[in-house]
Amino acid sequence: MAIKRRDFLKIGGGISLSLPLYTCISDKSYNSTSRSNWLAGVERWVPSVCQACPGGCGIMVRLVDDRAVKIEGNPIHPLNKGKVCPKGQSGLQLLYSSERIRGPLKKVGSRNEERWEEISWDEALDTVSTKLQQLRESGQSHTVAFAGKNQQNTTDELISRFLEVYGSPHFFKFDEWAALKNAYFVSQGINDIMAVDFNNSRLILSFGASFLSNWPNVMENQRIYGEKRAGGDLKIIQIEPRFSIEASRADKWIPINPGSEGLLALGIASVLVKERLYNQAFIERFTSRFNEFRDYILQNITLDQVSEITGVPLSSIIEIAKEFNTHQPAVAVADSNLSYSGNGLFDILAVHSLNALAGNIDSPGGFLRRRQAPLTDLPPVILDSAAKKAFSEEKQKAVSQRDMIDNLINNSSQGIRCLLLSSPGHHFDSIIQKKKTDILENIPFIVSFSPFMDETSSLADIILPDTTFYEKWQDHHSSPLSEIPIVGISRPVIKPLYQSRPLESTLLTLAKSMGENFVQNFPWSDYKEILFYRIKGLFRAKKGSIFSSSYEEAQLRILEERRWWTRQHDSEDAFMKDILEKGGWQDPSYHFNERSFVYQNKSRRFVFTSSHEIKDQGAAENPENGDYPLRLFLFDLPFTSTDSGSKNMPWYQENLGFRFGLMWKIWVEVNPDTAGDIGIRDKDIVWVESPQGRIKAVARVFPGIGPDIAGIPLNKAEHPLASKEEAASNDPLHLLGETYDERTGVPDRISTHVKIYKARGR
Amino acid sequence: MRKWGMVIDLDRCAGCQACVVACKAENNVVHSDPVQEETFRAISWMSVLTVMEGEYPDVKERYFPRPCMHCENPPCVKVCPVGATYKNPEGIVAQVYTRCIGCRYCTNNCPYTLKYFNYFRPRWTREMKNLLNPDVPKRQVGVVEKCTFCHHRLQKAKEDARFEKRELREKDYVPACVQTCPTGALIFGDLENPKSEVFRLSKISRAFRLLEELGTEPQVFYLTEGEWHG
Amino acid sequence: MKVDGHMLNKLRKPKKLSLVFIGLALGVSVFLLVILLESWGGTTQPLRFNHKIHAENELTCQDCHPYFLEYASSGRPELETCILCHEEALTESEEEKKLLGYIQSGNEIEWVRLFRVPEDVYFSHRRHVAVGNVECAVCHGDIGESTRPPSNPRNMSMKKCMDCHEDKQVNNDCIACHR
Repeated sequence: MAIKRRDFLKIGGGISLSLPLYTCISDKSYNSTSRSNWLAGVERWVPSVCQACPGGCGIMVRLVDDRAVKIEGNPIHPLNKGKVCPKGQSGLQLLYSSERIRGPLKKVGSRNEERWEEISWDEALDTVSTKLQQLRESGQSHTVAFAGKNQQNTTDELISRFLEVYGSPHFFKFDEWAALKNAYFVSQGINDIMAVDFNNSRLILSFGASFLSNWPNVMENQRIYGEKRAGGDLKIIQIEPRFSIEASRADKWIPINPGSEGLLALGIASVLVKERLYNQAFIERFTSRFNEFRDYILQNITLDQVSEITGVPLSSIIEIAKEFNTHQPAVAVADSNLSYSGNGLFDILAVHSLNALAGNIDSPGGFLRRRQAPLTDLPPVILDSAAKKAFSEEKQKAVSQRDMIDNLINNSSQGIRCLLLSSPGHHFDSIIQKKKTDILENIPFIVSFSPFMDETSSLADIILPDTTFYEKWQDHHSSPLSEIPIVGISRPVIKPLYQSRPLESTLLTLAKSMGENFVQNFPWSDYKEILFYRIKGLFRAKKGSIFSSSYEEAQLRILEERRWWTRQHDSEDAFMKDILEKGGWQDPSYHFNERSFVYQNKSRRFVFTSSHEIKDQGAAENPENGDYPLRLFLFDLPFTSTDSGSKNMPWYQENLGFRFGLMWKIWVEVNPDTAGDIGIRDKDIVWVESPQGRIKAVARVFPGIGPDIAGIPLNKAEHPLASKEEAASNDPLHLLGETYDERTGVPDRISTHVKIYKARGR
Repeated sequence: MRKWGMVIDLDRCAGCQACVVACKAENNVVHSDPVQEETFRAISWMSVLTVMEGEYPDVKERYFPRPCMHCENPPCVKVCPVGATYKNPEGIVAQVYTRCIGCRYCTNNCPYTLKYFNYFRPRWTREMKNLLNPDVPKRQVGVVEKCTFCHHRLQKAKEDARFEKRELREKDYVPACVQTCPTGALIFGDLENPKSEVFRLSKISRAFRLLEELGTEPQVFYLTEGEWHG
Repeated sequence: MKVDGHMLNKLRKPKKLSLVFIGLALGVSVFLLVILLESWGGTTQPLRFNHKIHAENELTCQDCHPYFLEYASSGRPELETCILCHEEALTESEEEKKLLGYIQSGNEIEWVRLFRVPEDVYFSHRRHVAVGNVECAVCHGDIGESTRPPSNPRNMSMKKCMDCHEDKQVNNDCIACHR
């Protein structure tokens, strides 16, 4: 039988048919340990601190043969007590993300493009240090700026120190909670956030505060919520335009027109004032300008008007006021959510005035102020003549975020010549999206420290990739939202992956290359040495203790309240060994009635502000024509606000839409009546269009949102397979106009108007 | 013999999803992608179902964390032709992946739809393979998987107890979801032990079980105030 | 499809379609051959390690396999273990020279794993040795007596596991071992 070519192909086909048989049996992946990789499976648990958000929960990382495989909570960390949120649970996906930048990169080609070339650390550091030295020598040191997040750690100190020695006042720290700080500054003279003692409150009157899903101390709040719901006395009233997670967990949800929360607070205040349902003793002892406030309210606030503007029925306002009075101690809480209107500071001040009326400041179940942990300060900076000159000339210092933005983009007279970027957060990302070309045009040299390819690194001329927080030493001073000072110690659980280097050691290396004065001011060999130097202050402070069981903690609290303290460690070394083993230090006692600490203004009193603007932004700015009939309401998803690091964690990201049955899509929430009016059905694919742009979303008909509002989640980060263009083109931030809070520079998320229409196809 | 079970207090659950992610991280469940979303083929052993009731502005929402019910009388076991899924002596409905032939009878017969078929080969990037828990196998395409109450943790806890020459204590063994639940809505333990928290809670008036009328006798109890209208 | 006599006839005849089957058979036999070769050939270790001589010099299993009392895996000797005795040549052996070469270069010896269980089985040495007091030889046979590394492990089938479990009256539940 002659075998023709055709027959040969047939035999070949037969052989190839039998091939899968081989591959399926000899599948080497079936034997997970490959032959050259014969590991013992040695398991270790390393205490550390989660820094996926500013909360700083204590974690234990499970390592198997030096792979980090799982995160659990550190059971003796006072903030989270062994629990971890979904973001923290996904944290290791950041570490092992394929988006990690492997080593230093240099931009090639045009600055608008994103083409890179790998370079060595020596070359990269040399380029940056040469550039910095050139600017400094030519008397331009003040044109160098560092933009980062407001962080609760020593890195902040290190960056400030670097800039000070260098001679630049421009450390732009983007802070999501700036509006709250401003409010407490106006009313109490403190430039800090205040903690809320939920544990002893009986009523939480929340004005859109996302205390169960987005506050940095959410683990603590959820624990208290759980305990109280299992048989405690806690009532929650959530006042918010949208039926959020908090609203769904509250005893009562009061929908309100976006941006009118402050006015409702004043309405409630007017009931309390008229009926004399306030804490007379507190007001006399601890407040000033109450009479002006009372007169202002009695003259200017009528409940009918409040009800009309806010959309909250008259009876509800009176009922809330009564409940607020009867369920004492009660707290009226606002958070950064309110700052996304153009009027945020006033809204927050109005809400906070309710706490003063009830006398719930510096009292159990009220607002408390956290003390700083007694870490050793770094030695004072010795300035050389160049730096001194820079500071004497350059007096103007960026204060608000608005100033920062101006300084970065608009202000050409004292323009920034060199910008150092370390993940400044999503406010900055939103600026980048809108102003990328301006930034690139105005700032000739940009360095990014981001560990990932993201918005900030896309700007950079040089990338010096930082590691993730799992690969470096760090201290973390827990969020001011919890009333006790906590210092968590985070250590490298594995060696830095690829060629990445911790930002801190990069800064120290840069400093050492920049002359005698820098070497003098940075005498430490590495960042760990700086941390240990500071942490030893905790040993010398003679208060607080290393994390311990809750029994020991309670003991310590009782002792400390009576001003006693017992030494637990014989030596500094023993203390350091123990703190590393347990994961950190805390001081569980809170001292009430330290007036000068809670009120730092001249009068040492809470100052009522009575010049509140009564302004309904929605009504004022609604365009006359019906082109854009719906009001856009952008909201944060759980665990997303306060930073931009919500990407590269697919386990956590895919669950963000769980209430709407969506995993990787952006949705727009529409009230059933409104949906009927505009002819949209549930799950239609629609365009949401504002004068600034349009995005594609899935319409969800949702009874939890008011009529004529289009609710869209922010930070619904793209799925891991999406192209950059696809993700960027669908960002809801594109819809926003260029309005910012006048005082804080925070973008206004609620005054834009949109229309919604069906998209063709899918 | 112990009988492991879970109590889920719906009045405490804040819908945070920590249990869902903890489960995936512990049990090597790869994250989904948009194709799986479109075709409803994403795998999540623990998932939080939401139930919304009412009209604006009187809306109520419940969050239902749903692990496998580990039924006393499991419908999935009855239909498995190869014995890949069975009820173990300690009350765990077990799934043996190497026996599973992927017929999906069990996924169809589970009234709670809590068994998941691997329609796709689990896709782990080279970097993400570092996350794999060595106590749990990586799945293959074509097998059914489900919540195991993290039974590998039970095996380890037993081994630890024997190694330390002591009895297994109830607190030695908790599934990953229970360990991480921030509000304490998930409670785990031995349903046969009258001293245990789950024993007590499963008998209180707030307790109910899903689709009780089917007679599956779930070992997962839910607690809620008032009447449950399922 | 309608099957008529003509078609059946066609099928019966050794037509060229059957070439596909010949190919298939060829493929399968090549595959079987590969499997056989793999198991005949067995594994070759980088060094011809002599268990017997080490045992005679009063080394215990644990000296080189340090983990079996504490962890799931038993562990393999690392260079730092070898150096303890073999800092300098103790014998004339060619194999020891190889070892000294490794020590000099600092590269770990790539021991090939001989005994392994499938991925879906969780086998813990601690559970068996420290808790269950099972002798090494029960599974590993007389490997301690071997003068050169065996190229194939002893047969370790599930039946053996289960029989032993039965004898000792320990848990024979599937998920006690299958993950």
